Amino acid sequence: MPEAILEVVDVWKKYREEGPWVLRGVNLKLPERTAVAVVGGNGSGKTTLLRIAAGLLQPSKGRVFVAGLDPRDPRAKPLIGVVMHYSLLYDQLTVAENLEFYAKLYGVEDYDPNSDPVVEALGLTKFLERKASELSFGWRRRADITRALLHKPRVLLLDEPFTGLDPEGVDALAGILESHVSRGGSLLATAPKRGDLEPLKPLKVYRLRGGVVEAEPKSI
Amino acid sequence: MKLSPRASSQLLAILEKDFRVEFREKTNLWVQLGFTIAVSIASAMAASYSTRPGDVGAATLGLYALFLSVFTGYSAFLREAYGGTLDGLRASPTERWVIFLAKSLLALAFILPQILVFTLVLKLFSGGLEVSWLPLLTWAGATSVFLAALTAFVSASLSYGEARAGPLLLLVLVLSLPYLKSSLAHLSDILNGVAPEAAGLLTDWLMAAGFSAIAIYLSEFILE
Repeated sequence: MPEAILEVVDVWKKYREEGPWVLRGVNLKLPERTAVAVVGGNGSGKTTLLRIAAGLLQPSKGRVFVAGLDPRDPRAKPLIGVVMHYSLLYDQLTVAENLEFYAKLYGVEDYDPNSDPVVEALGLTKFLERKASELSFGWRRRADITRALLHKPRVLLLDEPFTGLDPEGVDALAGILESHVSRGGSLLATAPKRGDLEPLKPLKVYRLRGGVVEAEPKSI
Repeated sequence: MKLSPRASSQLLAILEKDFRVEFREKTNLWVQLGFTIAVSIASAMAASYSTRPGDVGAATLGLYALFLSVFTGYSAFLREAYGGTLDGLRASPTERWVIFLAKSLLALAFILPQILVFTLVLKLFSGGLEVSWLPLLTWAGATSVFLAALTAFVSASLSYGEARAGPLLLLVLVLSLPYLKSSLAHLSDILNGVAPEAAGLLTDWLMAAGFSAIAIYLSEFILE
């Protein structure tokens, strides 16, 4: 069994003191070179779990480790790439400007969107000079995925990665994610249903319901 | 907290990005500039009826600086929080205080020129004002630094609250009152042609620098 690059240990979360628990004692391990899915309906806590794993939220109880580090530790952040269900791109900037900006934040030297293989594989080249606000949901999604991959993270956290993509986009993204895993990366993806993540096979699946992980990992 | 070459490069990247975003929303910029000039002309007309026009000018400029702080606060963090892009900054290996410093500098770049435009127009249209430019620039610098740090601080604090923009005005007002109370007295002197005490202006600078340093330190916890 490969070592876990991401480990979620007994994580509990609620947003307000008197509010309900969104996550209740979640335990999860993401081994290296593995794709893992977390499926669950609306409000099951998938996005909250991803935000905690990305270091964007603090758990109320429990710990998360990325390569043994707290994900909020600046040393852990270059190891993580995150795509949320909302876009992290700036509407007013072009796709190329957005990618160059994030490359600078992550310290990627001499980044050129025109020679980024992910840009080419996702067919984004022709949209590089378009403002993010002018892109359709699917193309913006592709740009967001490129942004998350440009610093070559070891862990990819993907919130409903195939939502909004056409069949061509689904195939292209599945190929990129497969190559990410085959190069030693890991990914944790969420979706409402297992079928939504079928292009990512083979996967281990956790089912999240009412803030609780219900099933042991198993292949689909 | 050390401004390493990496941190400097991230700081510059955020500033460059923010300026691009701001300058692509030209309508906002023109509306803001137009409003600054309009308020300043109205203020100059009111000042021309007063025996102490500097008092009127100082009062309106103080009020306008508060308005500017609230407006700039929206650009600093709240817009990023609403748009979701703040998560992109926070997920990146950029230290929280670097993000905060970049937003404070952006706020400074908008507040300082507008305070100067306001004063220039006020002088042009009021007729009776005897402005000493060196003390005025010293005052404007200190006040802009204070308000920029304040607006970034309040905006960052509210970024994860549910009410967000609602309490912005109130918080800016409450936190800025102690500073403005002493600082506007110095401005009033300057606009009335009375040389302010150097110690007074130095106090303004010390308060502004002190508040900025505390705000930068606290940003490590606010943006957690």
